[in-house]
Amino acid sequence: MAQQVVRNPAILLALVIGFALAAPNPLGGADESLEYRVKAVFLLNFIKFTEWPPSAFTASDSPISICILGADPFGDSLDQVIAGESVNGKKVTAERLRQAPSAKACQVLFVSKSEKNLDKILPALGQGVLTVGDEETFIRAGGMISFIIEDRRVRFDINQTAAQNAALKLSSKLLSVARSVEK
Amino acid sequence: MRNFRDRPIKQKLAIIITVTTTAALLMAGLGIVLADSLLFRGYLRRDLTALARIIADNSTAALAFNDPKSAAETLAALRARPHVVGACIYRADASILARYSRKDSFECPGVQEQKIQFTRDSLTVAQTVLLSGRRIGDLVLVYDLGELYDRILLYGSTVLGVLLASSALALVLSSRLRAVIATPISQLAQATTSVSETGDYSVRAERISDDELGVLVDRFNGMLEGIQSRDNDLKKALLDREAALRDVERERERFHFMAESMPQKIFTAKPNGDIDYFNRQWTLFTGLTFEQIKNWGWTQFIHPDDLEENLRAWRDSIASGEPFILEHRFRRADGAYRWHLSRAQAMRDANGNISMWIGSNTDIHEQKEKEEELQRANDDLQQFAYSASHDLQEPIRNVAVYSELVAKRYHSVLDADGQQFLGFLQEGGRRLATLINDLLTYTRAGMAQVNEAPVAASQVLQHALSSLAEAIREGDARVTWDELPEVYMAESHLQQVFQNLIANALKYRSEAAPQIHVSADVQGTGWRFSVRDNGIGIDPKYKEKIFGVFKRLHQDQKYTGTGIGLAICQRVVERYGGRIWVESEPGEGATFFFTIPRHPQRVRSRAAESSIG
Repeated sequence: MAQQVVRNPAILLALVIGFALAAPNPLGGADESLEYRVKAVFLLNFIKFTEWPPSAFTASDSPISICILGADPFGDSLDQVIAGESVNGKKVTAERLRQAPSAKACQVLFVSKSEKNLDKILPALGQGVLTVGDEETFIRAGGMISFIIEDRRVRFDINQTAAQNAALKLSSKLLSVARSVEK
Repeated sequence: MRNFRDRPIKQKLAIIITVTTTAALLMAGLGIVLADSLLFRGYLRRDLTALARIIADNSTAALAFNDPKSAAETLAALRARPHVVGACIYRADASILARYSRKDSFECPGVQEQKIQFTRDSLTVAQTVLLSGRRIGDLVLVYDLGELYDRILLYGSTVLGVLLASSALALVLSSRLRAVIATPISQLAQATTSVSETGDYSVRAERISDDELGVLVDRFNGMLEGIQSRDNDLKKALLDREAALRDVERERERFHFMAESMPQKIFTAKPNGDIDYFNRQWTLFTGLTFEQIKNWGWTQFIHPDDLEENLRAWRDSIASGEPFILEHRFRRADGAYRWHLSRAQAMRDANGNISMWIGSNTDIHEQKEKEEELQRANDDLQQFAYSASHDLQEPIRNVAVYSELVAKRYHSVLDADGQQFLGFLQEGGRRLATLINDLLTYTRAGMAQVNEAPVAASQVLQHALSSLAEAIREGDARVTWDELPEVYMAESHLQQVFQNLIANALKYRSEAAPQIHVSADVQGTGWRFSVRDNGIGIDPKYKEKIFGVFKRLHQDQKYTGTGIGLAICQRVVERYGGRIWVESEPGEGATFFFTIPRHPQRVRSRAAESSIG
């Protein structure tokens, strides 16, 4: 177990760095998978800087579920990243969805680029779901965190109001590393 | 530099106060600096560890989302701590995420295993960055210890400054305070110096304080008082002793002056008999120096025949303290021996112990010669008296015999006158015969012989009593005696004495039946015999007279006798060196005493004496 705890983040970080230094073209096909590995790590890290209300879970021992809505860009990366991970005593799981999730089913909802009707999806979500989008416009559509690529590095913007409306508390540390925060 | 021990107390006190103050302050300063540097290190450690934790905590998001800019911003907060030289945030793979440096020369030291590392001039603090219990990176912070040394320097210089200031203050204060202790001591020292130099014990130290020094001064003064009074006593004793010695010397001079001016020979001796002084008469007489005759050197001029007796008598006197009296001969410078009478008396001190002997020696040679001449004349006279009375016996006997014959044969032819005259003639003849007989006895008593063997006095007494048996029976007398000793006397002499004394007692009886008692006891070197009676007694005024020849106190017919008996007794007793006397009161009876030496050598016959010289 202990070995896994050490080895696992080491691999993750190696990936993050590797991507950060070695990605000349963020949109290049070969870098696609690397970019999403970084994003998978970020998704996991978002959990660590976010506080959910108890109502966000069906039970106290329910896992933290990361749901991917639409076409899955991560491939195996996300599963590899969250394998064996737990945050605040809760296991982290990953799920792929075809349609908007039911209440309390997902704590993190990654909305793939494939989903275009955000106007319908986002308002329908109940409280306690951290929404992450892959496009810069995602937060303007009511999403909470948008991945962006800047200087060949993966970064993100935050819509704090949206998070507050969903009864989520985002750590100030998270806010401090965001490119921009909307309030 | 002089030894500290030899410095004056004033200086010692100043040195002691300054040294102790400096030492105390130095120790306190060192303690403060040491404690402060230790405390400061601890404080620094806690402070920097906390700082590192905060920065590490603030760096979690930057590490989690790989944001060097944010990490650098976090590190930039260290600007507020001027002694933090630099800091680095490492990713989990030890690559540097962000770096902060105050100086360009700063280089990241790499991930540190040890949390805290002190080096000579820096402190390195390492802190792992954790996120959800996972290590996501490391923080290393380097602190410049210049601050610590600045502090130590500041403290040190402060302490040094305070030290110098307080030492100076202590010196100033002590110069005033030490006088309180040093002044009485130096005064005391001055007093002792003055006493020992001048010998004047009337000096007194002044008491300044009530503390131990005051007590010391009091004791010192008390001691001086004691010494002063003892000194006075000693001086007085010395003066007294000198005066006493002068007195003794004066006495001695006076004595010697007196002794030297005396015609007699004078000597003094120590209690042990050593002669320590002979006067000039002695050296003149013997022709010897004092050195030759002192102590026991005098024995060389004693006549060899007298020496043994002389030594014995002198030693007896030294042992007993009894006076020494001796007649003996000394050899004069020309070799002639001269008779001397020597006397010595012991002088005793207040305790009765003999302090010295003082003696004199008187030349009695002429006297002695005269005595002997007289003795010879006396002896000649006695010899003549003896011969005469002996020769007279024959004609007297003829007178008696023929007057008796005439009375018997021619009684009828004689008339009354003739017969009366014949009676007178007969009576005269008888008396003459008795007288001649007594006279013979008396002269014979003077010719004593030394008896080698002793005789038992009780036996001699019984012989005397049997001679007087008729007179005792007629007088109805009773004679008793105690145990009597043996004496060195001719038996006939002793018997004569007893016989005469008892006959005397029977003769001068009172009305009562005569009671006569004979006894003897030891007195001095001789026996003392006594013959006690209950007769008429003797008037004390005749005590001496009765021993004369032909002395009769009673001329009447009641008491018959020639009056020569007691003279014979005296003569016999004196022949043996004894003495005879009577003690009596009229009507009380009389007791005749006579003494006889106990030892034969003490007996000196007149014949023996005559041969000397």
